[in-house]
Amino acid sequence: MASDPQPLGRGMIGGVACCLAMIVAAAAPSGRAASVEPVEIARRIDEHVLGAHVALVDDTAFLRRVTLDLTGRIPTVAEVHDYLAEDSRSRSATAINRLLHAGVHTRNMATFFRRTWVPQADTREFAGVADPFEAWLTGRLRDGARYHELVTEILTQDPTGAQSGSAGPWGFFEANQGKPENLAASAARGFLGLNLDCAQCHDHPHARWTREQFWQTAAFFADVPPGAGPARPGLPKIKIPETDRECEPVFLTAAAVAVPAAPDSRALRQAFVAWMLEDGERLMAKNAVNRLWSHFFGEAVVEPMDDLSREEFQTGERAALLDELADLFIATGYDVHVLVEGMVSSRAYRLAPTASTPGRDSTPATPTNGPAEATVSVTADTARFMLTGKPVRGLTGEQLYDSLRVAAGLPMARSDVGLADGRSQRDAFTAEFYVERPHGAERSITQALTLMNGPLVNDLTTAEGNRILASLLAAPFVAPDDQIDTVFLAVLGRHPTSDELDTVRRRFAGSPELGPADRLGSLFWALVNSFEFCTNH
Amino acid sequence: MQPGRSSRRSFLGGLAVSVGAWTSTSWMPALAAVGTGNRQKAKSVILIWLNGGPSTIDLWDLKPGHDNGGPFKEIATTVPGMRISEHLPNLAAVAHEFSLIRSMATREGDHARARVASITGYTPQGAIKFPAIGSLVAHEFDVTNDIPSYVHVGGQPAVTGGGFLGPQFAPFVVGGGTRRPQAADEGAASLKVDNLESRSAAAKDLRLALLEELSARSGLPASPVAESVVSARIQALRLMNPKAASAFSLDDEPEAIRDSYGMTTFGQGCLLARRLVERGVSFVEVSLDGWDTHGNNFEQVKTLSHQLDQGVATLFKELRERGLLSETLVVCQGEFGRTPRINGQAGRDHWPSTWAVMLGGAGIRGGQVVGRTSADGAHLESEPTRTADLMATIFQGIGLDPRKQNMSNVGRPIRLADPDGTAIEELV
Repeated sequence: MASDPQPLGRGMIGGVACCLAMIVAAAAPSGRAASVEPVEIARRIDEHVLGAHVALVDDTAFLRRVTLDLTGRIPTVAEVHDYLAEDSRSRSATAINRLLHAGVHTRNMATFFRRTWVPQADTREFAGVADPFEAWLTGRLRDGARYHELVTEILTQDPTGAQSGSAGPWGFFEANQGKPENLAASAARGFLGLNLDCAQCHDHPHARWTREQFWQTAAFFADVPPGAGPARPGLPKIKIPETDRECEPVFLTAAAVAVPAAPDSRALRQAFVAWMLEDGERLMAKNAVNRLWSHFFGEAVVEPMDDLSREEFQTGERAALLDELADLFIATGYDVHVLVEGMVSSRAYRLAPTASTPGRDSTPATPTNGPAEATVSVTADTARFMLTGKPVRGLTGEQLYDSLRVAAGLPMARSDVGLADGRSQRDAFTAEFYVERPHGAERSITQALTLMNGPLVNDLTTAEGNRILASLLAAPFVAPDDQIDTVFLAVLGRHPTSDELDTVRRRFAGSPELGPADRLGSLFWALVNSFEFCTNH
Repeated sequence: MQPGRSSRRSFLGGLAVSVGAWTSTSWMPALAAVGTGNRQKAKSVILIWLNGGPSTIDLWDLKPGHDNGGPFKEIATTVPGMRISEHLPNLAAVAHEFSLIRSMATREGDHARARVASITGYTPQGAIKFPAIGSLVAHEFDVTNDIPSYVHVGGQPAVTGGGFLGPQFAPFVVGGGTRRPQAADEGAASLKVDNLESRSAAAKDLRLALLEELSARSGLPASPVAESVVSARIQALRLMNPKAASAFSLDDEPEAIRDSYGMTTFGQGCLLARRLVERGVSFVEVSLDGWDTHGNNFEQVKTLSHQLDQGVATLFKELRERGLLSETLVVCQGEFGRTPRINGQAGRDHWPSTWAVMLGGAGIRGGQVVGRTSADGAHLESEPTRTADLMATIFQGIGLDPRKQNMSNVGRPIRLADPDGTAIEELV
């Protein structure tokens, strides 16, 4: 942490004098007391977004939802059985607690944060940086690292210390190719929820951020040649391309933090982090809350997620919710654990799935039986923010792959135990099933073909490749209905309805040429290809 | 009945009609085809996408004798006065089939933004999910076909979904497409469509019957995400129809024809495009990557020109011979051009200010040269052609009204082409 008092910084840039305020230690937030309990966060969420009458999701559907969101996979048959055997009044809290302390939860959150901070790793060019970054994050989260500590470690790392393939936060610098302008744009987007891309090239008449401010931010990521402290010639300057103007580092908003007078490149970035922590608009905390919200609720509180400073998002119910949650998050000492537990413990999280999401209206040509309720009152009226239901979300590639294995009774492929091979199948699969935003996920024909006819799923439809099927077929005393029931539990996390059971019985009876292995394999195949399996609802 | 189910049912119905025809089961409800009404005769577009920003000053608008011109020579074509690169001799021999627009002037110099602007015809604004032109064309013609109506060959589409038109109009990607590294040029083998056949002949019917019957009993409400899963599955099932799947069997073509396109991924992609438009596909993109030539421009452009020349010249010839050129529009472009000035690495950088597009076929007058650039290639000496003008030209060429509106996801009607644009008079 850049917690040493810094000398007064003064920037005279482009005729605009920016006097930074007095010397203040940019320390970690003082509210380490963690006096905020998850239940308090849950209560505040519900006060903000719930109306008087809400429909909640049923019990097994809740278990599936929360297991997917916290651990990135569906619940196992055993977990569903245990859950249903517990006291119905306390079992959801027990399940949340168990999942939050599972190793896979840490890994799941590592993937989430990596995708937020280094989205470039989901492209071909930078695919290689994902594993070391996620392995590092998994370890740090397991150690109980706080959110602001992770951000600090990423931004103030020594990129020359990067060792290819070893766990570390290197990916952030690698994916931005070490360029000040790329690092500034990515830091603003990933850590502050600000999109400065347009300001990189021109001043937009209505945008809050100017081109000069973009390059002043980029100057914090300038490469200062190493040299003796006193001999260093003041602040680094960075030239705005195709102009004669040069910029020194200046913070985007006023804060009681100073830029050191003759910094090395690391001290510059330390000052940048210190400013993020002291920023009066609390963009860092708001961005964390907003993005975690989108992970658990689909649509974020403020969309687009990288435009938090937009004027119309500063008032109204959405702004109020984000404000309050950001305050609570800071008060926990940036404890992601508490914030996450608060979100999934809320009643809002348990809302029943709704008929549509605001992302894309279906064409009105098709009449529906009932009026499709909008999940959220959006766009035109940004002041209001009420949740009446939960949008159906697509599974990410990682969720789909890991869930397929769990559905077949297989152990999940591990990535938190090293970067060795053996993960190529998961990598290829997750790349093919990449989803940018789960609530707007679109399945492609190629993906559908892979799920129906690809080797992965088809291996799982045989007793050799599916431990659940193997054990059902090996046990002579399991009644046919119980076999069907177990496949439903394994794949969908619930019992079949009597209507579904009848359907399966009838279809099995209509295929006398097939043996029990083919029949159960067919049922498994049909269920994993259903949209119930392929979505989080 | 669950709310929303009927909408999913009828949605399913539109797509599902023909699946039952090739499976032996009768599980698919026999719903009537959605009437296509009396639309105009469907045409097709083949977009040859030069990914990375082609150096059009070294292809279509050379500056011999100027410092900016580089080492390439010009050659005459079948059109008097139209001269193009010496490395495009086969295209020069069919130049009467196409025209050149040498007055392209656009604003985006960043790959991603320029791609989206080029392929949607609109500058990204707010929450509007602009569809690709391929989705728009597929949606307008709405051809009933077991093959997806918008196919992207050999690369990554700039817009992966169907935008506000919905998932049925998303591009079906053949070859390329992966987000993970792969071998550079695997030849025609990479154009194979994987997983087109069921792996379980014996249980296939039971599997499909269970899937459809259980899906129909789902208590989940309809949602765009679920709709997209169902839509993709039904389109995939229709594509598994052996007759539809055979469109992708390049092995069915005589060897001489395969050779004539060039045995590269791109050449075979052009052949695949011809097979697809023969089978009624509305929009095919064939991607040729490698045009981002910041260094060593001329060696790379020369190599790429040979592929381009062989593939596209053969495509024009074959489309003409088969009587398809009058209903198929071929457009050849990238996201922008490259700097007239040659940089220190014998390369050229991004340059949206002056570049060129080649197009020919359906509805487009051939043998024309639209616009003129200065002797150094850096300035226009004619009216600029914007993306919106090009879009309007394409739509009008295939008989669609560029002003036709579709309802967008934000409840605002959006025209096929940005109304700022007008079709290029010399071409339509």
